[in-house]
Amino acid sequence: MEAQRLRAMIASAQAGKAQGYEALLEAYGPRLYGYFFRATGSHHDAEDLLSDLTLRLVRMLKHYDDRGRFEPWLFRVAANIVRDRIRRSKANPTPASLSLEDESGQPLVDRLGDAKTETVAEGLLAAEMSERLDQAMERLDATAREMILLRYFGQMSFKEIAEIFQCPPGTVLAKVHRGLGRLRKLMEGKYGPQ
Amino acid sequence: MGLNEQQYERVAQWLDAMEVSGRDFAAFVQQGQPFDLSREERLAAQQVLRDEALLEGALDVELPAQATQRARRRAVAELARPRRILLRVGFAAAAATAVAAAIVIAVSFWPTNPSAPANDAVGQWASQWINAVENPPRHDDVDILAMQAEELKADMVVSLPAGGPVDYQIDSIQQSLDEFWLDDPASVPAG
Repeated sequence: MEAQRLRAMIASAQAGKAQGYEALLEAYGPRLYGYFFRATGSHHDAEDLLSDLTLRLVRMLKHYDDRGRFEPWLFRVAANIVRDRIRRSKANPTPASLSLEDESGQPLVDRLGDAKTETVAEGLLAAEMSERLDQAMERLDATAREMILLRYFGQMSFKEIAEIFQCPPGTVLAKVHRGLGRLRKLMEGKYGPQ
Repeated sequence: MGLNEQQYERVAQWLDAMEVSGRDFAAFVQQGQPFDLSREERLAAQQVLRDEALLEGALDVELPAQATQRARRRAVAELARPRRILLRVGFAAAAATAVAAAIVIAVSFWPTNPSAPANDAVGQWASQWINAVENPPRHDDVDILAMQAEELKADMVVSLPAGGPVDYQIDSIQQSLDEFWLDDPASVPAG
């Protein structure tokens, strides 16, 4: 995102204007929601966590010192929310089952497909791939999964992720490296080399 | 490929530096890398970047409209919360001030001596009468008369023999003086 536009949104939000928060939600909502969903495996939980994050943003943003590192700060808050939720549930998160339906009754598999596919076959293949990816993610170590998600959705550096997990950046890289390798093998094992 | 802890540390620093520079792997190797990676380290770095690229787009999820609306409502409600709290505090302070003012007003008009008559005029007249008796106003004629009585008393004590008739006369004069003081001093004409 353009730095000047981001600074304006943050300033508006810090001034207590609702449109500032709306703009931030519009800019980061999809990535935050995706992170929450992939971390918990539940659309219901993801919606809850997005709402919780917004509440924390309103309370914490006034203390945020904008030095151009907003995204890592935002996803650090998101990661803490996820860890709080996982700690409370006392269980590893599981991806959404394809038998679940969304609020409109539409099977979730339809929502996981690639929006750019034009044919039904491509849409089904994309949905199937997404399902398998979910299952592969589920089989990862929870910490490795969360680190991979923070790299993907939060675009965080290894050093920034290390600060969240209070471990050396090399440890983060090792987990991410092994986790991605396992994901690749799980996907290749099912559907052949990519 | 197995890297040790130190090698992973070097590769992590190298990859972070590359991302900050905004260059791709090859360009960063040629220009700008903070240090050289060993072959094994470089292979590990490349593998991580390739695996992450494979995931591109695959983990994205559509954001439901109701999730956005709910988050928006939460933000608006939380933003309004301080104003609501301030309003409540303001009302409470105003109410407390009104009660305190009512107490002060009630205390200021409350009589200190419950048995005192509501109309204090009687009390004032009584105090004036007492003051007039204890501290009578001074008149020249009365002063002169008193002085003459004292002189006469003194002369009689000196000239007359002690005993009987003289004491009677002194007593009579004294009695006249006492009776005079008992009369209303205001009846003495002004000199």
